[in-house]
Amino acid sequence: MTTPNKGKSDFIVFDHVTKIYRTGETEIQALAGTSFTIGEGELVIVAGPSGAGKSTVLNILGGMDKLTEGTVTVDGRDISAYGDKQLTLYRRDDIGFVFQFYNLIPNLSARENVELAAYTVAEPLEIDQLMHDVGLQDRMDNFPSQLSGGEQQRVAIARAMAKNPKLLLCDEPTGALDYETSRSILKLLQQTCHTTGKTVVIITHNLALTPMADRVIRIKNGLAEEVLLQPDPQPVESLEW
Amino acid sequence: MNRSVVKDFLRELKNSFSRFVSIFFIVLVGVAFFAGIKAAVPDMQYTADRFYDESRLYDIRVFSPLGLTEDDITALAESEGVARVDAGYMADVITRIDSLELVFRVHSLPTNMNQLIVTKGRLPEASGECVIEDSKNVDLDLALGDTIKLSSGRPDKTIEESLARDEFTIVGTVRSADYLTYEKGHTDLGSGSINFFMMIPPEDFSYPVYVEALIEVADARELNSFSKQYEHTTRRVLNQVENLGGERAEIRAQELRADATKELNEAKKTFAEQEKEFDDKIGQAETDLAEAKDKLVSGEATLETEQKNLERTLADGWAQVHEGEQQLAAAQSQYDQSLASYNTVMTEHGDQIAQLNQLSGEIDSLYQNALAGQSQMEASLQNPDLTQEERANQQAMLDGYSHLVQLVEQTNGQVGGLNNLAQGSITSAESQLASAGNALANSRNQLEQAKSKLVMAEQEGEAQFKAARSELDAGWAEYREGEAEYNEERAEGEKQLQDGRERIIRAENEIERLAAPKWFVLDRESNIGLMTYKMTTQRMNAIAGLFPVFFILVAALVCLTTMTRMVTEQRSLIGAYKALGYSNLIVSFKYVSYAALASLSGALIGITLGMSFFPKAIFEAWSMMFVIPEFLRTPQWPLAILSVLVATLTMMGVAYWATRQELQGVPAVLLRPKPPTGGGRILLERFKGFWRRLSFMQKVTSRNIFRYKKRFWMTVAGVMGCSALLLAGLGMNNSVSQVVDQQFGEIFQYDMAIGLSLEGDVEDARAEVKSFLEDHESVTGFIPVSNFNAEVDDQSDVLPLTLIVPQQTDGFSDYIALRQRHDQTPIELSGPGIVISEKLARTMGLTVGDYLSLRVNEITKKVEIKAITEQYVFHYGYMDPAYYETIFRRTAQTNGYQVHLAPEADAQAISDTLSAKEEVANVLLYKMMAESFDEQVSSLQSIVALIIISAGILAFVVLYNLSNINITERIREIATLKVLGFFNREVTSYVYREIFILALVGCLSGLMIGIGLHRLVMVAIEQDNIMFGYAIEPMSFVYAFLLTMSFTVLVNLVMYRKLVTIPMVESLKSIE
Repeated sequence: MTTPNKGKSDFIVFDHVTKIYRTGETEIQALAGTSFTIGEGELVIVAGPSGAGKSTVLNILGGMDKLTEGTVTVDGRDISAYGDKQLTLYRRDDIGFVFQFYNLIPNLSARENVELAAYTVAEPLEIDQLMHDVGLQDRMDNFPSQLSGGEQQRVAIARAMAKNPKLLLCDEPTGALDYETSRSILKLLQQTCHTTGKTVVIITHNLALTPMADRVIRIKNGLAEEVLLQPDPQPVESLEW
Repeated sequence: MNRSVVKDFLRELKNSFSRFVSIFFIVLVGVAFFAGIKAAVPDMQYTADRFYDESRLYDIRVFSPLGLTEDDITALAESEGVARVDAGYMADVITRIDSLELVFRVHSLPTNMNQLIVTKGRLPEASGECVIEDSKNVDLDLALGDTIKLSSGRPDKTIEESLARDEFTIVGTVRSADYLTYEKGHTDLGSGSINFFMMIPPEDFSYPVYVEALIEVADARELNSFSKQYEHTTRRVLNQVENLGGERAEIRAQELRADATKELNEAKKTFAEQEKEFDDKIGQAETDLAEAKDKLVSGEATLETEQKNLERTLADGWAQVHEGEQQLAAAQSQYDQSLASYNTVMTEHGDQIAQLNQLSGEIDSLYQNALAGQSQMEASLQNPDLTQEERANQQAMLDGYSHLVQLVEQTNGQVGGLNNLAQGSITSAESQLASAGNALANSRNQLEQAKSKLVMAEQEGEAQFKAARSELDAGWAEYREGEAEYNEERAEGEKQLQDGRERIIRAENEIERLAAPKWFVLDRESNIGLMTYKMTTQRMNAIAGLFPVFFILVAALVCLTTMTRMVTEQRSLIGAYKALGYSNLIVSFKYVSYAALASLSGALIGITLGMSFFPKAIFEAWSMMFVIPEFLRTPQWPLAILSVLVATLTMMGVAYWATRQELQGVPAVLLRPKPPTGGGRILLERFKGFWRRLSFMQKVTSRNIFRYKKRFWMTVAGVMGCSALLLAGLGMNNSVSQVVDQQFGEIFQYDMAIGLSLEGDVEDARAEVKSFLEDHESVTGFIPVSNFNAEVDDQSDVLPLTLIVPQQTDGFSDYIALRQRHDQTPIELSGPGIVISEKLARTMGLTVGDYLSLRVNEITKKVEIKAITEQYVFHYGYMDPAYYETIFRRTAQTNGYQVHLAPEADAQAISDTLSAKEEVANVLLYKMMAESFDEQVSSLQSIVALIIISAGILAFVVLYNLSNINITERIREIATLKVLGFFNREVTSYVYREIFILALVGCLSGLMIGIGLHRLVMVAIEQDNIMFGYAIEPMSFVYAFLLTMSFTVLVNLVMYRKLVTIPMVESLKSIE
């Protein structure tokens, strides 16, 4: 399978990123000078065991946390130098976020959850089309509590996509789902990446998922231990775990 | 239970300390208010009870208008349940200090009961010494050693009737439990209320019998004076004494009735005598006067006639004189003619007449000779010795002679005749002339005489008339004098008769009074000071019954929310415990004991703080009005324990209830994340047209508000409670100050009220004050009125009221506006019937058309209520003067003025000038009345302030808690929004819009509830002689609203920091 519109190869650059958490006297180094690059339009899996620092990568990449040292550029912009306000704008315009626990607003219907995201940007995508794309055209008016976990995650993906972001950031998107559902969600993400050309970053501890990615970044002890390029990623259907 | 569980519990405390503190604090505040305010009343009662006991305050007071004899006292002492009786005297008197007329109630020094607290100097030891009240409020400017001069204050009574002397030297100042407040009851003297009390030695009273008796009820002193047992114990003795009073008073009345009947008969007799005497005297005087007048009038008439007569006579006289003069003139001319012709004749015939006269003389001598011979012969003939011849001779001779005589006679007759004729003619002519001349002279004389007579007569007449005139004038003067004297006498007599009539009326009244003789047997509740204190504690109890409960409820609500939140948060933990095999009991123990610890510590500290702070503060606020020396506390373990127990158990129950709900799930379910709360359509969406118009965020907000019912109700209820409390507090403040505004701003329109002194000449006083008012430039109007210190008698209840009878009903509304409260319709005063104030009507349960027993000057009459007027302070009655006269058979005498002053007038200066006048008893300035009333209610206002502040604190705590919970509950949602790139303002408005709308709903509904709460409180705390306004001012709604909303804003400002610092990583965590 080929990526239809490969863009810049240094779409995202982590350059010697260090992150130290301080709680009172103790210091915990979450990232110890991590460096890697991600090309535009790639499906990237960031994998690693618990506590390796992948969540920190996610936080920093998602504009939710600041780093201690180093630089991070996204699409040529140095987000590590951003202040709160700029970070908010960055999250608002450039990032689509998919949470492990979906984080849908329980009080809003599926469609309204997507609208909530669309509300924040100037040029959102067509919502009905999005709902159709994620296969929920018939369940748009249902509330989260009326949807299965997979369906909720689809809504979450639609919500993330609605802003037409540069980057789709997924935090253990299948962590709370069963096997079959997980596969369908991963498939959706792969499809999305390939059909829309969005850069998709999936954070997971499940190494079995790595074959589906264009690029695999293994994080261990706060460092990018290995960056593996897979010119021929496998379709999700062929994965087993 | 193992150590791990305990450790977990302790760690939990440490980790969620803010939650612990919030429960702790809300319980603390709630309990502090509840217990503190509740404890205030028993402490106040205890303080007073101790004071009463230490003063050996009477339990029952017997007062008899007829007096109490030694026998009465003995009978009282022998009554069952009576431990001791002190007999004493009492009188209300008037004194003037500086320019102020004051009413003092004078008591004889207490013997055993009602012990005084001497604050300065000492108690009286000798006659003529006194102690006076140590007033908290008024500085009388009297020093020890000063003397006070007392007077009866009534024109019809002297001080000697009650006191043996009228001057007393102050030797000390005292306080008495008998007079607990500055308000000492009413009197019929002066301004109608007793200003001060004083005590003098009993021997300085001059009453023949005792006036009052104080009774100590056996076993009552040990009891709490405010308790039911006390009431029960004294009530029993009171009833007995009342029965005794019925008998004893009758005995006394019989004695007095005899006197009174005698007096009446005497008065009647005297009156009859006086009347008769008056009639006689006046009748006589009238007759005399009439007679005198008649005389004078007829004298006047006579004088006039006489004058006319004289005029006429004089006129006639002058006419005659005039005529006489004319005749005289004619006679004169005739005489002149006759004289002329006589002179002519005499010239012609004078010689002839002379010859003739000679001849006649010769003849005559012849005749004489013959006549002599004849007489000689006749004499000889007479001689008897003559012989016949001789006789015949002689006879013949005689005959010869006779013949000769005859011849001569003949001749002589002829000559004589001729001579006579001639001579006669001359003589007669001469004599005629002479006589004519004489006659003329005579006539002239006479004429002259007549003239002078006339002149004289005229002069004489005039003199006489003058005399008569002056006599008449004198007569008139005398008459007028007599008339004046008569009038005076008559007036005097009438006055005497009036006095006599009044004496009869008095005597009749006296008999009427004696008709139903009774003792006034009064318990402590009839003492205005003691009653006020008791009412105060009751009012406070009412407040304590309403507000703190509200506080506790709101606190419980907040605790419930907090605990539920806590348990929900720890759902998975509970699941873990259960999965590990811990029993429900042990799992719930953690939460229940968490709540227990928080609430117990909060309650204990709350009790300590509340019970030490509030009762003292409340007592201090009220005590401004009372002379109770110092605040005492009574231990109130039941209240304390109950409060702590109730608070703790409630919180534990709440915690258990919250835990139980979770514990019912099996561990597997609990361990899994709680399924998201179901979303759903809200009712509003059915209105498609409306729904479509809302913006996306508005839709989200509406959905959020209506979907989360629990949060909705919690917030609404919490805010509602706060705004209701605030509104009630502010409303109380309004109601209290409204009294002043309405009463002194709208109803009492006059600026100054003057009371005349009833000592001395009231007429003079009236004239003096009236002319002062008429002349004073700053006085824009005044109206004379009669103020009576009256009472409404309702068998069970006697209420004092001021009866105001204006001298004219026209224009009275410019001074006091009589109107119906609900529609402000003015009330017409003229015509029969009494207009009474609203509170009086309400207290007595009377309405228009009912009759009430009105007692004025010891006379009781039934009068019909014709209208009820808006009035907030004290009790008033108003009457048409004509109606008053009809009812009471006496005219309402002016004894005061109500005055309007120009706005720029120096009221104080005018008041000072007036007060300095002897004729003026008192001057009340509207402004000062308003101020003094303000002072009176200010203690209530400080309680209100306490409530408002407390409500504010509570509002803040509650809102903080609710907002906190609200945000904590939605922390994931908020973090998600942030991750989605919501700006801070978008996040906050997403949350706050909802909170604000809830607060708004809560606040507005709280205002509704506040109206009801306010009404409840006002009814509960209303005082005896004050009617509070029930209206809450619009500004209070605004304030309550703004305060509540600004608390919301304030809380949300505090929350803002928390909101913006919520870490976004929260969104990555699993659902708790």
